[in-house]
Amino acid sequence: MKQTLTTLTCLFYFFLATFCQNHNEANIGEIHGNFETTNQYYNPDTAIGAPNVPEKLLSSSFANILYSRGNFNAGVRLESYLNVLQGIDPSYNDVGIPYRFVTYTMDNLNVTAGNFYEQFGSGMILRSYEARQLGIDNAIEGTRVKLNPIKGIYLTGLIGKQRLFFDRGPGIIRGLDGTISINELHPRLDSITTKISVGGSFVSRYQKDDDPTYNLPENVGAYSARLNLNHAGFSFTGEYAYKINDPNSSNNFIYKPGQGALFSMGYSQKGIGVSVSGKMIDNMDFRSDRTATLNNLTIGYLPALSKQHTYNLAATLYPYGTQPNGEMGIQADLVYTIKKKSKIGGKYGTLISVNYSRIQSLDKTYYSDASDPDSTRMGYTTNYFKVGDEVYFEDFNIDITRKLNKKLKVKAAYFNFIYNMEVIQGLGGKGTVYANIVVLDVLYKLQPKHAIRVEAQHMRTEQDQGSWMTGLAEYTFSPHWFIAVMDQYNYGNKDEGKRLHYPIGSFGYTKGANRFMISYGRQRAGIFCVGGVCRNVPASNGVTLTITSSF
Amino acid sequence: MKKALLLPALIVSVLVINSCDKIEDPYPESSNPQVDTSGSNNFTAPDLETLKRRILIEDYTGHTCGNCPSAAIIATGLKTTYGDQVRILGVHAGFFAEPYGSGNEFRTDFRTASGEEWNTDFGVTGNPKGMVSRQEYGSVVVLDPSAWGSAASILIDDEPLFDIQMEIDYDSSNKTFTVDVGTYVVNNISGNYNLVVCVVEDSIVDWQVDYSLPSADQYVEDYLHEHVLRDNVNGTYGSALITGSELAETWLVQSYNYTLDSEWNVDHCSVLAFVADATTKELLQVEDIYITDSH
Amino acid sequence: MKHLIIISISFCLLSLNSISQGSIPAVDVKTMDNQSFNTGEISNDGKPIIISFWATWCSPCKRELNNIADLYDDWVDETGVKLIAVSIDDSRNASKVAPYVNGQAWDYDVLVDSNFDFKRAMNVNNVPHTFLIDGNGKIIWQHNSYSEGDEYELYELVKKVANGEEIRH
Repeated sequence: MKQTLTTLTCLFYFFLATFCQNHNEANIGEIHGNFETTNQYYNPDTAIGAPNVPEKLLSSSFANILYSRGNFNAGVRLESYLNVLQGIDPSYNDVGIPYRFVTYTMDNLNVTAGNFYEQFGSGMILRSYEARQLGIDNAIEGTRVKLNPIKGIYLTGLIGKQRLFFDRGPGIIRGLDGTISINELHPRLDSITTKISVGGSFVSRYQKDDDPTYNLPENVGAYSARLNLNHAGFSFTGEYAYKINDPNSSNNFIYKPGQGALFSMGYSQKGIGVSVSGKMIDNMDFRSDRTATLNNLTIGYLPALSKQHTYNLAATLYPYGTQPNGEMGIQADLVYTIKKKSKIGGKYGTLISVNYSRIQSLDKTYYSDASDPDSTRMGYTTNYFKVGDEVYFEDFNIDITRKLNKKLKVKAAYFNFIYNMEVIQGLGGKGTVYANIVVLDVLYKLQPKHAIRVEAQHMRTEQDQGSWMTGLAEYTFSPHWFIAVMDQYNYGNKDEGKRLHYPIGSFGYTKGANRFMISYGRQRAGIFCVGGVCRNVPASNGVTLTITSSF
Repeated sequence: MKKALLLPALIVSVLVINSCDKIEDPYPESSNPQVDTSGSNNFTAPDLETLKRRILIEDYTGHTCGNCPSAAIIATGLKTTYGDQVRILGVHAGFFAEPYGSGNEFRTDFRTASGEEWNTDFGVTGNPKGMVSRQEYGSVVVLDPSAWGSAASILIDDEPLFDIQMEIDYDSSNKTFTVDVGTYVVNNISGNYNLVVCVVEDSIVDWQVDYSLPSADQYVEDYLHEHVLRDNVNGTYGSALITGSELAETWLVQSYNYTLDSEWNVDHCSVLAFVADATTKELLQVEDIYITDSH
Repeated sequence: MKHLIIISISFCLLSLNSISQGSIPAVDVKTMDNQSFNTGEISNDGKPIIISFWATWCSPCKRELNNIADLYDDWVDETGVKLIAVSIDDSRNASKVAPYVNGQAWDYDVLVDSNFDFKRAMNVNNVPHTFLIDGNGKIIWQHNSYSEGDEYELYELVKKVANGEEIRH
């Protein structure tokens, strides 16, 4: 009997496979997915402080499988962290299926049961998303209903618990969101060049109060309202959020309500684009568990108002992280192409990109014990959008890209940072880092399918670890191969014993949607802090193998 | 595609072969063996009306962790709230407990082998963090200090499964003590349980970073470190206490000899013992006793 | 017993791995001027479509799309192909998409997928990731990462699709 069952199962899968190959008709459905595995073998390296890794080999993998048939979709993700890579929370060490869902769409209604991701507006009071390489995944497990009653009105309702490693956080989240896209309401409105949409959302978290010291609010609600305006090349986005009293470990259990405001204005037309954005955040750390810290169980997403850099020294040494308990920021960005065949622009045109951002503290007046004894625990007052005195972060950068001839393309960039290490990394006594970085990036096409790219970066600073230099050379052979070597050298470290090289070589092969890469060398250490909790990411020395595939 | 797989296959096989530990000594260095005291049972059965489950707050900390003094305050606050039902253990482990810098400050190493092992095994990432009787609260065992009160409030009314009583005999001439740890089984019980015995020292004056102070004063030279784990007497996860099952109203006595380190102040030292589930590591009862009478 | 099931499932998956025939999933995203758009409505009158996932912080993505931009006019004239550039910039960088696209004077259709819904539905792990869709709306080719000169291979395939030829992966 068992044998027959086995044979039948095999035949069933065989037929499924054959059908999948030859017939893409709706009655069978489609199966697609992707897969990624990262494996690292560690060598102890006392010079850079790389600790001994008892498992020797650390491996993280995941596989997604999606099935779709007409209006029906289902998916599973299997994740395996045996054990998790250095720097990611070891609470992930396990293997299992933390993500599965079923969703059905009919006419104007879409229903999802299981795990899902969602964002309300810009995400300030609700954004569940995944950034797997950073170890962020706060998927909601529950039910979501999306309704589109008439064209132009979109409603979403959801209820669930958030993911915490291979389990769920204790809090229950309820959310409701509505957007009215005014131009879609009526065909005549659609032809107007001015596009307006308004939206509002409400999110509430329930978590039981077991605390013996405080009377904690079990239901904490947050509201937000947003407006989007687009007219020809001009755009405006604004959002305001308000959260009622939410004592949590990040804000030291104060009962003050939280507020957040984001706005962004831009103008662009062919050849030029300008944008200005601003942000005010006051006590907006909102999680499924009021005692959660680091990346765990965040409900809202507070974006860092600074440019995301790509060059190694600019992006990985002093990255900015939003201070959810209070900050005010402003950013301006300009992209301009000097026309080709003009005198300054050269034969192919020149691209200039300038960006400036500055984030300062929020002006807070703390209650002294006399005016607010422990009875109300409001913590502090703020005068709406008044900027505080402390500078958290400032970033001025400019880059120029120019194609010199058919074979040569050059990019030069300059960055200037003011980085308040004490506040951003939560480490007392570290002060503020002032750094200047210059980068030169040259791409030379030896032949149409062979190219070599060389990068030289130099960062000059007198604080923290001192000055750094990075050199990178990458050779690509279209369409399959690449090989690269990179070295980071901390030549300016005040401690002579720490003036070390961090060389790393990588080699990769890509075919279609399959990519595989091997790298060998040293990686720098870092300290990662969120709120009042700091985690140390140790340096490492070893071989890494990464395989990615989609089908 | 096939050729491209050859190189990584080679590398993987080399790594797999190298990921092997060749062991020279099958038996680990023996932890402090039990002393045979069969026959010496001076313990009297506890009053079950007043017997309570005592909980242990383990505070994972380090001297360069500026947010940790506020966690110590939370732990002592809970001791005030729940009185005799709370014991505190400060485990100095991980990155922020490492001796720091090259000057005279922060040179003391409060780390212990067992503390580091617990730190890794329970996945304590970042400080301050801790555990309340190593039980899960809100889906996790390692808790932010702000959750310790809530976790404690859930356990505080639990029916106790054990009682622990201790007697200690100290010889000042060679700084050695003999401790008798008696575990009383309240009801018939089945499962595997271990007894862990540690030495703890209070009131150690040494450096500590404290971010709650104004920036100029954050490096505190004379901070009072309390409840510092100094050493485990019978191994990281202790010695077997119950294997399989045990009957109610039984006394299980284990005795240990231990010689204190010359640097420790014996008047500030105490012995902490706890009974834990051998598999889940959850603590079911805890007790401590001072080594000398003057403290 | 268990082994046979595992083997048969792996066989099924492996055999699926060798082809990428599939339709474009229907997901709600936004256009550059914040109007909602459902990806199920992507079409090009039976002519080939290229969907390329990119981000303002992804240098190889920008290089790929800028290199194609130099050739795009010729590609459209010869084959009628349409390139849809899907940005996965989230709310931190979304405001920089329009200035960059217009600053670079791209002629592509640009969509913004801020919470990665379309990226997930299309099984994209890393950007750049580019897909080629034939006249029947089926995904017939995809490629991850970018090396200088990849656009020539892409264009050879676009021409084949425009002529109605089959592509064997």
